Amino acid sequence: MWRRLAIYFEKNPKMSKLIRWIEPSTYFLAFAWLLAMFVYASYYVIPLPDPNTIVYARLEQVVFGFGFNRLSLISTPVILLWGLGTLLLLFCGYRFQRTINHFITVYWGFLVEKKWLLAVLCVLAWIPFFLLRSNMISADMRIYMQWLPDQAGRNIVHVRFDEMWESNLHSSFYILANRLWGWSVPQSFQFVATLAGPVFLYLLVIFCQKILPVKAPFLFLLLISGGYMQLFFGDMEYYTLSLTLLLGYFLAALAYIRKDVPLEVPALILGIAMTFHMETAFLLPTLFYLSIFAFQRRTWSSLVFAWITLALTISLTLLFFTHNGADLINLRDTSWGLGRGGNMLANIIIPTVATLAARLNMLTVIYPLIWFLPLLIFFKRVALNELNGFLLIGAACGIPFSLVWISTIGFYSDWNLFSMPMFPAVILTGISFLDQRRLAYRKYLYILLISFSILVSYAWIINNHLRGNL
Amino acid sequence: MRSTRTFQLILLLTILEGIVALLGLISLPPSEEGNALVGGISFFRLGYLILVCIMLAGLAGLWIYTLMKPDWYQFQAERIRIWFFKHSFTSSAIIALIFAWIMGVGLLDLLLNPNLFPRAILYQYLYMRVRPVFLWLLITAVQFLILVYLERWFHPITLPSPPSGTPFGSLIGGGIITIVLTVNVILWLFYVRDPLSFQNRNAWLNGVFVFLGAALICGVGLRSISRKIRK
Repeated sequence: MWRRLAIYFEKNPKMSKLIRWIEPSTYFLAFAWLLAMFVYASYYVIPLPDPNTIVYARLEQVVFGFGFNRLSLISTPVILLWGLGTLLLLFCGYRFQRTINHFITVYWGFLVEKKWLLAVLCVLAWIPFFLLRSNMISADMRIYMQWLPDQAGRNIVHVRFDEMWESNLHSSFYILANRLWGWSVPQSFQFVATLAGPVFLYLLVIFCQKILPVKAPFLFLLLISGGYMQLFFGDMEYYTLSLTLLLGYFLAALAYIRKDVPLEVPALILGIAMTFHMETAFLLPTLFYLSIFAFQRRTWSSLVFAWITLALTISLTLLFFTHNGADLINLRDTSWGLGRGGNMLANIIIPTVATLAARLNMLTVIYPLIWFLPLLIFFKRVALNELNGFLLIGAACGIPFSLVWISTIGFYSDWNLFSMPMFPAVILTGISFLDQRRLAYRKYLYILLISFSILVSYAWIINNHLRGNL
Repeated sequence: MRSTRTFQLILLLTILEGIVALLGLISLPPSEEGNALVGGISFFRLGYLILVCIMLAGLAGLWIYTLMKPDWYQFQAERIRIWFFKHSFTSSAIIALIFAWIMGVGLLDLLLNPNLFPRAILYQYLYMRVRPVFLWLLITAVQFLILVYLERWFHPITLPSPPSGTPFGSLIGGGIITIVLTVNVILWLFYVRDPLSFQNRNAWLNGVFVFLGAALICGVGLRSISRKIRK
């Protein structure tokens, strides 16, 4: 409807000027609204002593909660500096756009061409990942701090059904690091998480380059501006390696859509991701979607072998851990995802107003710009192509999952659990923002959005490093 | 000329299954006295029944219409075929979501079986109300997929025929994956026969697992490489 209206107005010369204003104005207004929410939450609402506990809180404290009050984490001079920096960027965007674009394109192109240089830079990025590592310990981590040394002492293999390889590799690394250097459980978790960071960055650069070759640097910036990047800043949980594998799956899916690899490759990577964290099973419908391409391409053997490969990956992992002492019944009965010996449906809860508000805060923490996705869909900026279809299905499964799946330790601490399901939506938002023409003043919009998102997300990341409870 | 009979048959089956689902809903225990509006049926259940009846009436109307005007379906089928061809991405997404729906309802039916999961009894009060319609929609979804297949809506009109013959590398890759699958099945048989002895850590069997994992990756890699060469 909107597109038809736009065409009608564009045919009318008097109205064409007006129509050019409506869409960008909506985005700018949405940005102003988001900014106002952040300012109000940060300076006019008393924050909760514990953001995870919302039972006795006023609704206002929950609505304008931990997702929005992050400006209060930043000192005034830094905010002023950010404001000046953004103004400077806006001015540069206005005055030296061509020169800047030229420089970015040349250097980015050089970087992508010289893969070894890109790899070196990504490895160097490990330094900030490690230096700014999170010191926040969640309720889950407190349990692992008891379990891991105890199980290591008794020579019990540490594996949980929900996160088979993640839990086992973290545990094995802890045993090794503890013996060699005397590291504690949190230290070993932090280190493994920071190691995943460079791999994630490398894959992300390649992914951005493959999707939007011309605007890849901006897409890269837009995507790393989310709070989910905290995962690679030493987050002490079982999600870091899985998210890296998830990005690998997206890359493989893109390659499959472009006929560069057979369906077995994305199926294998998704299978591995599922053995790292079962939560990634929410992406199974996207493999169905890819299977339909195989059906259309009449690559029957590929279709069959892909699903066999996926099943084999999970099956062999289960057999391996069973052979090494993990009991299958015990794995099932201790799984949170499967309902802790009960029913999986126990994990699905209908949100109340307060919990929904807390969830929306959590989504804002994960990716502040997610709020623009409904607008992008409304203005039909989400292009209907094969990759977006893949991402749309991922988002259509991930967003409802994030809205109804239970959080047992509180939404503030469980942000990492919901980062993975939100990831397709995050990428879809980034692509839809950038993959568009004929949007007036878009460069200013990009500058504002990227700089604001980076400010609030990285302020939170730095705060977790400085004021953590480790 | 496309056959209307297949569509009519599937539609008729859907209607009959819908009637069974409706009977299933009617045979549910009556609502609590306080909630009962008429004949032991609450306001919400009445609305629910009316909704199912409207759906059934619509389907029946469509069935009768296709009996009266068989050409109408042929015209619509051609339009759907063209739509599927023009919107390969949207149609793929719809089919994927239908698969997800079938899988989801199947999983729900398994998880809500109190014999398997005793705690499922807590949800029976709700699930027994929606189950007949859910199962009906599941079967309808399967039938729709059969119709899509039979009508060849999903086959692109101008598809370059794939090169004949399978590359050697792809065959070897497929062979490796099949061998891994066979060994995997044998290992499961060993496990089922004697779980306790299987759980004893054993270095050589761990070596087998590493080998199988590597073989699986090699198999997929070989198929991938041979495809690239063919391309």
